[in-house]
Amino acid sequence: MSGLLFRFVGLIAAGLIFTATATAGKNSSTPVVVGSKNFTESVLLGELATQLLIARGIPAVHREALGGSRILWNALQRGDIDVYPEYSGTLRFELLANVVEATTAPLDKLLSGEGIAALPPFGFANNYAMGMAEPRAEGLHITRVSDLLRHAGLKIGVSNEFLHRADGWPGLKAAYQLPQLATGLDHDLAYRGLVEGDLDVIDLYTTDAEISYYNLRVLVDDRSYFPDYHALLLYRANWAADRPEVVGLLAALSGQLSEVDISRLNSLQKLDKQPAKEVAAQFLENRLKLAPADVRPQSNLRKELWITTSQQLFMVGVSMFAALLLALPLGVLAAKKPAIGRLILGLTGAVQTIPSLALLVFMIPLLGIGTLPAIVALFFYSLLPILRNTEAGLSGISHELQETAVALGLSAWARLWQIELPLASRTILAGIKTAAVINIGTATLGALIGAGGYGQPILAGIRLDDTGLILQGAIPAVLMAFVVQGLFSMVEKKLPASS
Amino acid sequence: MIQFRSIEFGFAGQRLFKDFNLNIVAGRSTALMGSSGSGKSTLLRLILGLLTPDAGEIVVGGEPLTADRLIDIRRRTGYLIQSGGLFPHLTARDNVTLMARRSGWNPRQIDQRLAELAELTRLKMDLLKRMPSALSGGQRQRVALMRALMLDPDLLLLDEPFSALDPLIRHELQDELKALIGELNKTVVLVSHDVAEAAWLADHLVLLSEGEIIQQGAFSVFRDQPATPFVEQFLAASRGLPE
Repeated sequence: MSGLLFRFVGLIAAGLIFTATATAGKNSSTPVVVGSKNFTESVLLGELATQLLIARGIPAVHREALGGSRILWNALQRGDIDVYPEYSGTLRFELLANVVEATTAPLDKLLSGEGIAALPPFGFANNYAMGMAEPRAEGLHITRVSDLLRHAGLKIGVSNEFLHRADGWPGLKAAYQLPQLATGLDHDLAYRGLVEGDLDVIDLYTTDAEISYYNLRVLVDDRSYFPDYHALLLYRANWAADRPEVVGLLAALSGQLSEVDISRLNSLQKLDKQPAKEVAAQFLENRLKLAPADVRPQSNLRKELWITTSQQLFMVGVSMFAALLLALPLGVLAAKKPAIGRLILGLTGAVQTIPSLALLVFMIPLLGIGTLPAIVALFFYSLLPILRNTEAGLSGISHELQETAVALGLSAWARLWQIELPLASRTILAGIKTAAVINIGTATLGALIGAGGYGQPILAGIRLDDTGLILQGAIPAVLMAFVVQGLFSMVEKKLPASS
Repeated sequence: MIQFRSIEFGFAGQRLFKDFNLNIVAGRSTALMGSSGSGKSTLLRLILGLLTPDAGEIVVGGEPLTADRLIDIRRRTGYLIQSGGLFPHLTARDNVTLMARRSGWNPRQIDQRLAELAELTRLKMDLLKRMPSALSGGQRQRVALMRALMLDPDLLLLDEPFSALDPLIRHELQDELKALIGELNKTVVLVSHDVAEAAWLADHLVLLSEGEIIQQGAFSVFRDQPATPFVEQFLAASRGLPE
């Protein structure tokens, strides 16, 4: 147990050091933090940048697969990451969509207004397109997007980001007057839906390896709706002023990747199951003649499990502890002052209804990415069950016993500690148990903002279509929930029966 | 000992007491009788400050009952209710000794007092180790009585203490309580709807109906000079009255 405690203290210390170095003035010994989005190609581009720098003697770390565009963009602006790969269309139509002339002004000019700069593009465009399984498209004689108009009953499933993006489904539907409704799902799962016939049409990235693998027909954008999405590396302008040598080195990647190149690299990862690190190392060795980086897997399953477990426990433990500190006294207050209680319960109830992913994203402008915003979000989610059960447990004590405690001459404080809290303890404990189980489940989403934990292998497993990897996160998460539930049940048996 | 002076009190807009006056004499046992809703239990809860009168004054021990005296008065008062009100999370012993421990009694004092009380209430000492849920109804009431007496209070308030018990146990406990009252020489206020019990245990009877005193005095006064037909009815409702 004390060993575990030491590891926790170590983790906290490491976190503090990380924060400290991240905020300290940039000098040549500070590692460059490269970010990437939660899909194969972005992780590969991030890996290329990271390995290039390391090979040239610049310390660099890759915070891979952090989440969607907005998360990365916010993290870059805040300085949580220094560099990340983005696409020109995403910048114009999504991230900077509310800037005047976002679609026409030169990209450099648009970015400089935000304090961001871009390197010249990698050389390929990864555009959005709509795709269908070849036999199905053939059977319905569909070759162009406008052909979809004739088949209102087609089932369309698109990635969640595409579903809501200004340059995604809403615009496409309007431009073509499409009659269908689209449902949102994870991009990697959409392929399975298409192959298994649950979906007829999905959105594609034109560089996806799956297009040739699954023999998909890419529909012609006959009204030229989709813009170009040239891949490029973004960095913060003021950071670059301190690290001009880094920007100079990264420029070596500009123009190095054609559509054919990137499709092949994506295919190596997704279809041949090669790790992004190895694919990137091979490419850098062949194309830029860089000495191959040591990319042998440095950790084994046990070590990875230990790391994700301690990250998960740390997130859950700290957020639960903080929630207890606030929710227990608030629950007592709510029971004693019902008018205030209704207000408190209403507010915490409202927080509970914010979708967990949205809450995580809200945290980023305030707290950046990593463990801290995840803990804060989990803290909010744990409040309500504890608060509500504390209030209910105390209010549920029979009027007779409450009056007896008063009549004996016990002070309000003594009544609370000696009589009321012990009598409410089972109900309160049940609330803490509920909070803990919700917390463990929700904590897996922390991986989307770089907090690690069991969500990391789960997300990577979904991205790489690797069931083993998914289970590596899912099984321990379920076990942890069971263990926590079991521990609480043991404690519960030792508590007095409620009155 | 206790005076109610011009008390006004009501629940949820419904006036129960209007200009209510009553004097409870020290060192004597007084029984408050009446049917449910007559206000007899409410009077006990007013004495303990569990309820606050809307107007008027309650005098306890010669001084008006004020908020700052409440805790002290409660600690010098033994209060026993129909269900006993034992805390289910504490052993019988911890229920009885809760206030003594909080008042800083030493373990020897506590043990000594427990032995006295166990003898007085005729409860086997080893039953005190049990949780209330493991005791019979009669045993629970004995423990609750021990708790009420633990700090040797000047005033004992008994709110229908035995009416939840079966008749055999009830009679036994009534006998014991009578002996105990005689022995302890305390001021006792008993709430009862049972004339026989009230007459057996108390020197002074007060009959209430809807917040008003119908008649008060010794039992013989009630029997010989009933003030109203209601008094006769109330007495007739009980059987086996003493001569």
